[in-house]
Amino acid sequence: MVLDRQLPHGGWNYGNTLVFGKELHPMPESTGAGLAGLAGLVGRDVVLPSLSYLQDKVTRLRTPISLGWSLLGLAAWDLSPPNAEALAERCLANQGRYGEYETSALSLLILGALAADKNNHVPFLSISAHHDRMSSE
Amino acid sequence: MGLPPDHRNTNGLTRRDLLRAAAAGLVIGTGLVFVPKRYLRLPQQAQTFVAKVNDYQLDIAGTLLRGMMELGVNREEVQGKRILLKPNLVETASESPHINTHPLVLRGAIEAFLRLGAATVMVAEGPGHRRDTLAVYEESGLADVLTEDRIKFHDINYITGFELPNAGRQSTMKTLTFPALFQEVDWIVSVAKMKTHHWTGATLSMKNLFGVMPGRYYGWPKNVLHKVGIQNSILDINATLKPHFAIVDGIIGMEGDGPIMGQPKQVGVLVMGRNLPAVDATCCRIMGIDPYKVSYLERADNWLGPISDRSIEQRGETIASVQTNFELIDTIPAQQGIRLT
Repeated sequence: MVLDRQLPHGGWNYGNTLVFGKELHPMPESTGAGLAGLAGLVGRDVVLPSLSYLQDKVTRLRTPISLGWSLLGLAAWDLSPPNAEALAERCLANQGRYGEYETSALSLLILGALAADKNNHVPFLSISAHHDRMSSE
Repeated sequence: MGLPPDHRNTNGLTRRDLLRAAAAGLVIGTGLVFVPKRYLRLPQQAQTFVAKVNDYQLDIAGTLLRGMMELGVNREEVQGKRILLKPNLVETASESPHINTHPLVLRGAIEAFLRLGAATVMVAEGPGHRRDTLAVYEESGLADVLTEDRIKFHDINYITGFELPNAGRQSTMKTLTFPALFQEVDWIVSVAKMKTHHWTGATLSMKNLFGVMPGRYYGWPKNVLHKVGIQNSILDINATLKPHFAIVDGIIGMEGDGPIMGQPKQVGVLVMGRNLPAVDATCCRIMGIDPYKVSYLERADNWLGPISDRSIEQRGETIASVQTNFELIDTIPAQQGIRLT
């Protein structure tokens, strides 16, 4: 079902591929979710155009849902961008522009940043992690 | 020369007038014949205003203000009101800025309402295609404008809702869930885009209100509304919400395979009014579309508002002076046979 909804030139959107003969636009958050869901279940060649689309797109994403899902989707295929931390930090800083993020969006961003970080160390999380450790001691 | 708009005959009667009279005669004569209610409705009246604006850099606020004053929207009425503007933000594509209401039309509307003494003006949208509303807000250019103007934007896809009984009763939905935010505003203004649409023929101020239905309740792309019927849902939403004003961005619209994949169409107009079916019918005539061939408009006629050209007092520019046929695609059923003749 998920594969059936993959766009011919790569990526996913809200679930439609072609309408009246025209291929619709892919969306990063849907593509990230599709790739995360299919990792380990299908060969890389099957989703290669989607991976290419998301790799091209990810560095330009500024909002938590798109970036969070994109980082999760790429990490599931070992393709995290080298500047994932910086992207996540920039996205966090954008709360000054958009207002505070909803908890679910913020959680998604943090999950994406953690998934993208092979060393399991995300600096912008370290202050709160340290605080949590101190509280529990 | 063919029939004038709305198929008026030489006696000044429209086909609808004749049908209405015939239906009434049958009812009176037999008392048994079922006739759809819409053929028995009394005619309504409305006013719309059409302004020529050839470029987004022109004085949109001043133009909207002039139109609003012409329509009787004055300081006395707006003073102290909380105004919610609902743009048409669907998704973004770098090569297709004409998908969405232009940010400078929103800026103009904000300024116009503030100049009329509104207490607050806010912008709210729940895009139909994107789960990431902020991405559409950013990529459409609206974030730049509203941040600079210090105007609050609300993502209504994830907002808490409140239920109202379905006043339209066209679909099977017993209730409609609107954003709770709407309980805190005085006016809801549809700030739509002038576009053709591959499911409904045209998308204007009434169809734009699909975007007020929160995605967390109705899904993406508002699946619940599609399932119970797009045309039914448009009517139910408008009948229940009762929006107060409409502005349609027709400076650059979209023709062909709208609402996403169509081509830009330079029209150079802003259309506005208090009555949404009347505004949309006027837009249709500008686009070279017969509003009686757009199902939800035909069904709204003289219920939610008038769509006959005789019932709409046209202010500002004449339709003839700005009319330009939008491309319609023969292979798209909703666009077949809707050309105004």
